[in-house]
Amino acid sequence: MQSRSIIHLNVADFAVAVERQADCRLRNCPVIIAPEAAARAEVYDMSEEAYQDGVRKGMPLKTALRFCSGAKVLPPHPDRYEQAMMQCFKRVLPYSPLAEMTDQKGHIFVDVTGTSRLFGPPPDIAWRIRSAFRSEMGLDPIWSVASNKLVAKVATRLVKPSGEYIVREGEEACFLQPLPLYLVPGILPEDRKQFGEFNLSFVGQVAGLTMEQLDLIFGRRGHTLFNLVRGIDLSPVQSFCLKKKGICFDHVFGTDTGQVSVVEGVLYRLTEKIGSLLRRQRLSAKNLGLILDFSDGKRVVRQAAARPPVHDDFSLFLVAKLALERAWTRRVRIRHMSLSCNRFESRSSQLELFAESRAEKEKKEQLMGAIDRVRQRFGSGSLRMGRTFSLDSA
Amino acid sequence: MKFKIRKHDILNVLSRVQGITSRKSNLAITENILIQSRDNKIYIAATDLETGFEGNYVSDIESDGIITINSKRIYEIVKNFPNDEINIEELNNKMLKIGNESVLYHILGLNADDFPEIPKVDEDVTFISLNSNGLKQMIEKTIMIHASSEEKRAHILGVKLEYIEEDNKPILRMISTDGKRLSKADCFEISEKFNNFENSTVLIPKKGLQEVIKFLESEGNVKIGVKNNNFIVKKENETIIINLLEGNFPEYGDILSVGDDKIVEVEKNSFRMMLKRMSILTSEDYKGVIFRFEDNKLTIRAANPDLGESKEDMNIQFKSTPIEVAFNPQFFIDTLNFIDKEKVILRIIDDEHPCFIHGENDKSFISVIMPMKI
Repeated sequence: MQSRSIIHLNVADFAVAVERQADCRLRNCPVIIAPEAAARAEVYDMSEEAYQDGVRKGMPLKTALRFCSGAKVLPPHPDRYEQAMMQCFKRVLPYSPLAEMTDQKGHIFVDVTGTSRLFGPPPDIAWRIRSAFRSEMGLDPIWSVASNKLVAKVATRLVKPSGEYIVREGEEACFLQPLPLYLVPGILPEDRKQFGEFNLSFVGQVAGLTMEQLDLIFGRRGHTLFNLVRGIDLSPVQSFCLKKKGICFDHVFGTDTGQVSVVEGVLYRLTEKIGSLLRRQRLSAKNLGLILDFSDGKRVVRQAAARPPVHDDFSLFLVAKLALERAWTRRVRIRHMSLSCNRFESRSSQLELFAESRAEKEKKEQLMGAIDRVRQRFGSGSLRMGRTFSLDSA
Repeated sequence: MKFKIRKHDILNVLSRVQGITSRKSNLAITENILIQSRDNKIYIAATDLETGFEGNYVSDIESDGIITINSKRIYEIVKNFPNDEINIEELNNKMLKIGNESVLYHILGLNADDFPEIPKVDEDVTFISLNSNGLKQMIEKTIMIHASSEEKRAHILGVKLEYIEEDNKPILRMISTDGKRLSKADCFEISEKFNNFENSTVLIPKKGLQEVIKFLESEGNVKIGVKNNNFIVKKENETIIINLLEGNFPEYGDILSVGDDKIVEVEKNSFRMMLKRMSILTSEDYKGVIFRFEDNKLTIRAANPDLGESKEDMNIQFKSTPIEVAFNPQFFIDTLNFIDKEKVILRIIDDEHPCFIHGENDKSFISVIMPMKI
């Protein structure tokens, strides 16, 4: 099997880095990202300076400010981070289609196996991506090159907050041996607690155990841990092209809101946008996914299926509302909402048997067609549903 | 309660009630069956709150009693029991002892008072007797049109039962639809008049009818009746009661009256195999195939941009102006599976009207299939 070359790019304290790009006054001072307005706000992200003072992710904001009283506190902007991630991703794609964003926190894996004749050795590619990030976006990523995702990720963790690391093929186990267990992704806190019972806190110590010994302590999980401490990870870098492209529209509330009429009004507008696009492409939606970002930085993702698939705004809104009911279970105001559809089918061409339902279907089609034509000619605001009027006063 | 029963006497009934007891309902006890021993017979009942079953079976009773027990568990025990004779005895605290000298189970039951009541069949119900196999076929021909689990419309969830008279001949009719096709099955072998649901729509849930099929033998007669809100199927020692659906069935008379149609006769098996071959290239997004009737030839074409194309011809008797129309081939295959005749008649009008299918010289079963837009 051909040895793999995986680059891991990690923009340290991604949220802070993005905020610093937006406001240069934040540079060289401790920054904490947390929803200040929330009563029990928790730290979403923090700068290296705040980290050095003892601030950690998930820590109550009040405690964090006790550790680092001079820190500037900013509310989280998930939409801004998502946009920045997409910008980063665009700069990686020219080097390999096998690029994977695991989250919205500045981590990207790129599989550059077999691209040496095109772009040079993997460290050169990593350098070039890093300079593109620095010059075009003002972000300075840590990078590492290794033969798999696990080792590449550990390597960037090791050099954080800045630098680079190359782990050559065959050196994975030696590289991991002296490291503490918490640096290895996949070894959970409960695993570490269990290892602690046996006075094991370094990878090398655990690597000395046989598979049978690990099985005895962890059961089925023993096999996974056996591979982790040896730097064995066969998981592929998920191709971006393999992920289904969908339709997605989002909205950032000017002021965080918990008003049902406002949230539903925005949801209806997003539904209209998706519906219009679906009808133009003669598609019907099989599902709708909803992302809610709350004031305290928490994100909830829920979806609802459309059975049978639908394309008119009224039916789409019912599905979207169901997804909203599933997602909006917290008594915290909403900052950002995103509605997406990634499962479609071609619009059903099956004729209805009964004249009554045929007429009803045709009536709905004609109405939606007329609405689309008016909006196309005079703009989307020319024809509005009463439901969206609440947005004017909000 | 204490009785002895032969394995094969009880195994068959336990197997048939599994469909009822495995359905989710609001009451956990509906996963159980009720067993009562009385008058030298054991009485077994099961319900999912929509469909109820009752049966009486001869047994060697030592003492009377009543208990409910998990249906699946007792079925597994009886199915795998090594001997033909099984002793069943109720102990204290709703514990049931099942077994003999070598194999013994003690399983916990529930209080019989909590078991939902199954509507009693009154003496004044007017039943008509009809051939068991005839009823089974009627049900099979109509419930082939399934309703999806998300469906809420009563006329799609249920099958309409009708009693009509044509030329002074009584006909029992079942009609089913999913909004895209319709299936009509008639039964002519009725001796008595049956008019106790003349003015109301009788919609029997398809789910309940699926259970009825399991209890219908290929020989003998069964009685059916409608009383209050229930459809009742009665055999000598077994009764099934199904709660009717509330709702209306759309007017279908106009759909069945064919106008200016062209009649095409095809050989059933070759036509079915042709459709099967052509449906290989259909998918969830591209369900349709195109039928072209032209110059004594039927051509079926399937074109799926994701998969490819296919085409097949068949010789037929057709001399009219060409007709090109798209259909979901699966609807035809479903229908052909229930036509007994070797020759099948297709009655086609155009690409906007439905196609009628029935067996040669047999209009007791007609399937109506709407086309797709090309």
